[in-house]
Amino acid sequence: MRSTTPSLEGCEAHGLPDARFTRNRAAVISLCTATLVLSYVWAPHVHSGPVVCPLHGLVGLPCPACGLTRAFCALATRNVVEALRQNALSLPLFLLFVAAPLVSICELWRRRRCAFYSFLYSKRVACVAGGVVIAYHLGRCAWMLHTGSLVEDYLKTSWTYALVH
Amino acid sequence: MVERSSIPVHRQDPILVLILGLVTCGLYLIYWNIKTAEVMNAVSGRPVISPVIAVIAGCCMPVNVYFYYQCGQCLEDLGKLTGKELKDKSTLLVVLGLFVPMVAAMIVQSHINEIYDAKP
Repeated sequence: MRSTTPSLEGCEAHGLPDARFTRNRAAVISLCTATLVLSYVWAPHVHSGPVVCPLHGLVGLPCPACGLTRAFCALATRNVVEALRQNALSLPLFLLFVAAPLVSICELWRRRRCAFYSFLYSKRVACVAGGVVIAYHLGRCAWMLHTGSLVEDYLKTSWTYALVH
Repeated sequence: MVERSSIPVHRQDPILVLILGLVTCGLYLIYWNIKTAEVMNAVSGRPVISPVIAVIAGCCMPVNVYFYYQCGQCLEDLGKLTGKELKDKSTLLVVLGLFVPMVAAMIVQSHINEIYDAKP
């Protein structure tokens, strides 16, 4: 199956990839592989790690990404329930991290971009994805406020709180 | 050559990006990422940054690093448009994107503002 979108990034008019094409695929492969390997290696220590999120540290509130490290570590050790409990967005993201390097290797092999993921360049799809992320995050914050974990797990563990107390 | 009039308007004070990012718990950065991807694609004259990846970048640190890596690559094209010599700032943006994404966003925003500030 050949790409029907020759104007896409990295593909020159004659169909051969340029340096940026190769560099970007190499970046995707190394970034995704490093993330998956680190998730597995870091899994035993994930609950004792420091706060690294600047938003959590400064403001004491969770960002949409909060819980993803713990969720990825849980998924790396095949604990899907714990991953969903930490951050439900982790499951599709983890699948993306598994699929992206495979697709990149395939593209480097074929020296051509695959066309099946051209929907990722749709602004409408992006707006829907953004809406889902924002709705999930607001819902999660409301639930945390209800259960009290927003104060106990985020506000009281922030750098600002530690500085004041 | 990309026409400057074809670039979508995404003018914002970099300090406001920082403030809104903090006030909205990072949700504003999702919108900002989509708009930035739109501008960068228009500047490069081809779809370089996927808007969906831009959304995911707003909620996943490794994807955020990749997003800023691609923004850094696009700065070269942005420099051609504004008549300034902008070098590939991928490395700087990747490091900032990893530790302080809001500062990386401020740098990118200041470069985007140059498009509208530059005289035609």
